[in-house]
Amino acid sequence: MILPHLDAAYNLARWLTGHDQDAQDVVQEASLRAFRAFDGFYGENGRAWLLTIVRNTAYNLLQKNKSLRQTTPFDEELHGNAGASECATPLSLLRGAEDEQNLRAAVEALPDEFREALVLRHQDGLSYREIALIAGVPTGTVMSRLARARARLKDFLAKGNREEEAS
Amino acid sequence: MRNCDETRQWLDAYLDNELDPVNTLEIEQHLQTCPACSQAYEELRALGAALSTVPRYPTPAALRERIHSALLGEASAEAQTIPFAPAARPSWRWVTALAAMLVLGAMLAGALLFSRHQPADPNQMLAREVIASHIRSLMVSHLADVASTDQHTVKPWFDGKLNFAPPVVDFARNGFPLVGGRLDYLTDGPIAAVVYRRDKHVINLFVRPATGTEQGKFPKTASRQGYNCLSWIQAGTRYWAVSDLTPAELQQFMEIVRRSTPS
Ligand SMILES: [Zn+2]
Repeated sequence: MILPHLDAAYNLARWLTGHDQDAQDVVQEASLRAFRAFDGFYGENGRAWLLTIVRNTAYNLLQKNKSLRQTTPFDEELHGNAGASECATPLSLLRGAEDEQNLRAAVEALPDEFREALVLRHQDGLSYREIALIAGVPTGTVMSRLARARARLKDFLAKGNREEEAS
Repeated sequence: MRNCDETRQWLDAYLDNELDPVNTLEIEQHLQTCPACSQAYEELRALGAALSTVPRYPTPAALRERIHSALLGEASAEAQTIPFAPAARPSWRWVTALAAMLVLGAMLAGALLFSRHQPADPNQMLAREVIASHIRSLMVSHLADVASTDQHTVKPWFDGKLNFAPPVVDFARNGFPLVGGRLDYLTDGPIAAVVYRRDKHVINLFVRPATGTEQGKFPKTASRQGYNCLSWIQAGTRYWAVSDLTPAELQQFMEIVRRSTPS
């Protein structure tokens, strides 16, 4: 019951840790932990259970080696890429491979709890209830995290353009 | 009719289809009559659509393979039926089918009695885990991450992979040549596996710092599916030697390891 959700597990771990090798370690550890703890059975929602364990394992790892990425100021990381687009509306901002890079970088620069909510919602298509279960917070918190995360992304992408024009 | 502030507040939940029908209807009505909110929603929708098209990070094939193998090992360890002598090794396809059946079986059983298994004795659980790990290492022909008979190659390999330095000594002159080293995982964290041979028999020596909670009489012995496990604590380090050697041979191995390590 782990293998069908391996892609979601690796993807979440990769977004949370920011590193391939860390993500692999997290997924391997989490998979074995999940398998042993539940003897192969995770209740009705195997995916949510596995992702919960992946998430907790990833945070344990992050706690252990406070990664360099977290010390990067919020704006700085994106500044190099952010001005690439000509127009500030999301539709044009996000089109094409170059814009996908921008967006990916913008998501990477978000705080962990915003990033995980976005990844679980948009890449895994999970409901608020499932995200709440995984993150261990009320569904209302999931809603506000997603709203704030998207608002920051919009500001962020728009701001990159304004700064480009100004400089 | 909702005003703009109320509408904006619920736009994200509306986008995510998380609103009940009544609220959904009210938002829709407002959007139809308010160009500003409608524009805000369009932007949000575009952002959401763009986010949903950002591809997942692709799972490395090696990781998939590693986990597949590891879970097969786990499932087989549960089955207690698969012989591991090389000549009698079952075909890969058959193992896969069996593992799938086991997982399905566990699922059905779990549906009836779903509870987390909490073995009473942590030592028994650890012994079970290291034996499962030993079996896994034999099954997936992944005995060593670093294959070398040279302790000066194997020992540094562990540097940076663990927050402790496992002792690595070649015991070839005692009849237990070093084969290599491997990083493994128990439920409570990573562990070093130093691999030795005795004739055709493989010995996994699992090493990690002893935790404060490990109590009772040592050495401890355990046996499962034809594999013997001998565990001891020395100089703040916990060791598990696992092999299909006889308990007496394993005891001999333990004495050799113990003598080589300052207490
Ligand atoms: Zn309005």
